[in-house]
Amino acid sequence: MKKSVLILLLLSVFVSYASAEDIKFEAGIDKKTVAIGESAQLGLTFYGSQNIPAPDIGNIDGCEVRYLGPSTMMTVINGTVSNSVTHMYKVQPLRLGKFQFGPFTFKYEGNTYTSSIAFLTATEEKVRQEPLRKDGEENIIDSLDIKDRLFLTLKVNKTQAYVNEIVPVTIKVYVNRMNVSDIQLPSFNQEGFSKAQFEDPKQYRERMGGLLYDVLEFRTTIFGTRAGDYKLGPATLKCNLAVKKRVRNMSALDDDFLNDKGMRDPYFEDFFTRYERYPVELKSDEASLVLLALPQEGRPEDFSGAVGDYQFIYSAGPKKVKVGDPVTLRMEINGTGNFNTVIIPKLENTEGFRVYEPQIKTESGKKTFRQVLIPESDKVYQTPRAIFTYFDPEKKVYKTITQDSAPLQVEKIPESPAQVIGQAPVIARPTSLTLDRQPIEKREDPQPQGDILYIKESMGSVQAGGSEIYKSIIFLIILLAPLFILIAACLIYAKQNRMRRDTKYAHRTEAFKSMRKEFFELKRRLKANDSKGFYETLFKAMQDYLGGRLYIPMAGLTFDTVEPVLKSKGVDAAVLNKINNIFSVCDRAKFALINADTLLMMDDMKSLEEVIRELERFKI
Amino acid sequence: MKKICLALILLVFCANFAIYAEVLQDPRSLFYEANSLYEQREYEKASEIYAKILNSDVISGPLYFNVGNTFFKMGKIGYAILAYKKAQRLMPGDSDLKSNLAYTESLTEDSALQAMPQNRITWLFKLPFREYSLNTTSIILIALYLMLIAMLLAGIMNPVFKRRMTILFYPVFIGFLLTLGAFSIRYYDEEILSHGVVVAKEAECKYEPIDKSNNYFTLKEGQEILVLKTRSGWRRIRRLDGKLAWVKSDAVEGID
Repeated sequence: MKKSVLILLLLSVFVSYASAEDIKFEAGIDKKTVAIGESAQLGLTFYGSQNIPAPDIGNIDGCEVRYLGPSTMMTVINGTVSNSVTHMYKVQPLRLGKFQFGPFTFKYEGNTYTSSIAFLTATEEKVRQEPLRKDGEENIIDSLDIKDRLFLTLKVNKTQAYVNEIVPVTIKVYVNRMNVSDIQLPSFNQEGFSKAQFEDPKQYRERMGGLLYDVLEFRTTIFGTRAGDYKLGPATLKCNLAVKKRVRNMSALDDDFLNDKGMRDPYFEDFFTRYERYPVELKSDEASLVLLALPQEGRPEDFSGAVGDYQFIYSAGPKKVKVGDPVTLRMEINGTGNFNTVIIPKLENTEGFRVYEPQIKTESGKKTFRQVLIPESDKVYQTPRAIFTYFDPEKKVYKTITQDSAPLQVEKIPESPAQVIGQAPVIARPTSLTLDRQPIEKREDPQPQGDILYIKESMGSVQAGGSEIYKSIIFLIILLAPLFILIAACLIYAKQNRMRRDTKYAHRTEAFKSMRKEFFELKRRLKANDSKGFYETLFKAMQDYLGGRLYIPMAGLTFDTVEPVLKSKGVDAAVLNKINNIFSVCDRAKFALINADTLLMMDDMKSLEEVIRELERFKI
Repeated sequence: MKKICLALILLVFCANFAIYAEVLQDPRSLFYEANSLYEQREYEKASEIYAKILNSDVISGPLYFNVGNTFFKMGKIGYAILAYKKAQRLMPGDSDLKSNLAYTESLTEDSALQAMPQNRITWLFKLPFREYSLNTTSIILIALYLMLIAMLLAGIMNPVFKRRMTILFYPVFIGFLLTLGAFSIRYYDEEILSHGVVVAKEAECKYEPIDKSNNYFTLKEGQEILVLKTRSGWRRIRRLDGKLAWVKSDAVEGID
């Protein structure tokens, strides 16, 4: 407790002893325009002290001024204490015109402070006619005249640029005494241009037209690839506007003024106030940019599109290798410009080397290429020469930087039984813009630049070694079983389809099926020694089968009916004879002309079997 | 006497139980124990416990990741890369792993020869599944395959459904073909080809599997190679640029 008191005392002492140089005196007004009869609030803020009394601003011609009271503010951000006192005045114009408030001069403890200027225009028309309606956020936002207090600007830092030249673009959000939150990254129409990511936004205060704005600045760069006249923007930005609403009397706009850090007095906060957030989309004006084509005059043959101002650093190592061992060329392009257009420098005299695909690493302000070469013979004495060409947009000339070869000592490997070794792919030097790959930087310094990331604290999903699903028999079963089911379904479908379309086939199939059923019945009758029932079934079986097989009506089907058909199909006489016998024996049994025993019945059933087997062979 | 016998039986029982308890110790508790040793910079001890987990036939991506980190801290770059590559098979999308592997590979000599050359078609097939392990890819493949079969069966059984389903069928079919392609390529790469990593500081590669044979080239620690065959203490390897040679078995460890 004692410590806390001591800290507070120390803090207050520091606050009290803020030097005069640190104190800033600023004037601000919550509105730019009011109607006659309406009032605005003028705030005179002293940043850096809370002990300065209210300055006497005297009378302002045509305007009624009334002192409202002070409002103090102290904030501690990252250990830095800042404090301020704002003396608020109610100003009410009594005539039409533009009023200037300030610069006010105020003497205090031997120091003189001079404020900035604020302006207020008095008009006949009421600035805000409609009372605030509760329903519909659009009405609330529309009713607030926020154009001068919250707006977006888009600035292209050049009016003319060359193709592929980097052009800085700045987008600023200006906020004057409003509570804005959830500010999203801006976007803008950039058709015909490539845009880099936005840098981290900067926040600062800027005075404009007598008003003090909190500014959030977004910076990025663009470059175009085709010459022409372009329009950029408008930039748009989404954010939420928090409007403090009171139940009684106070309008939203008035409250916003009190919302300001410098003006708000927490002691006078109304318990009946609440904040409501309304989404707002800010839109800037458009900007123009003329893109010029790169000059043809003086354009080197090797020029690959790099635009900027660059330096070229080249090194090769190791200097002494054996045939087949790699030599790495390290080529660094650094400077300012569009690194998207920087490709690997051209290598001259690569004969005797096998050239691999380079590794590319892009960092802020530099691009590094690591090119591995493998000498194929000991007749190579130097690394290739490297040439880098670019266009300097400031000086408007093409420049070429040539790095000479480095000496290289290649030792022959001892003679040995020759082996045919697989050829490594020789990668052609890229001729157009290349996309950067995941950079893998070899460490030159024994002390690593970074370190590995920390161990995992959870073991994650654990599995037994070799338990991968694709190695298990289940995987095979899951793959094969549905396939078999599908094949079976296809076969069934095809058969059903044929049964529907091919009537003869359907009859034949049905005949065969019914025959199988009747065979069971025959066997049953045989077992029961029921000769009458047996021959009735036999007759029916024969009739059904032949009817179905020959596609003729079954009713009244006899041997005489089927004989000519079977003969025309080329059925053997022996088979015909057997059919005839079956029909005859069935007829005789029907009229009890035979006394059939089991053996005879078995013979007749066998005959039927043979007939069917024979007939199944024929295409009828 | 009876008491002494009882005490002996209890002692034997307890000893046996202790042995079983150690064997049956939850791999996760061992994992946490190894992690705490790692935190205390007891890398040797941590690696022993991680090895104990691996010897119990339990694997996981984070386990191999931590093994890789431990080897890295012990200065065994080759073994660290080996462990990271094993982890990569299980969790290829893990950003920490990518970072550590890239960083560790950057510390090796001839890091330019680490990347396996691959053609555009292979790259395109692999692209949608690069964040998934082969196991996950196989599950996706099965899911698409079953969907495809179910749709075909439904189409066969119900012609009305068949007409309605045509719009859905083709994307699933294309997805299945792509997944099948990716799975096949990855299966060939991970299961058929035998990848290895040089774990020795330097490995002399020879023309023949004989000590007296001439050196052909030298492999550096951490370099990835393909192991073609193994014979009496030697491995026939192919460097990723296509060079073939023989190297001592103990200089190279297989990723699979």
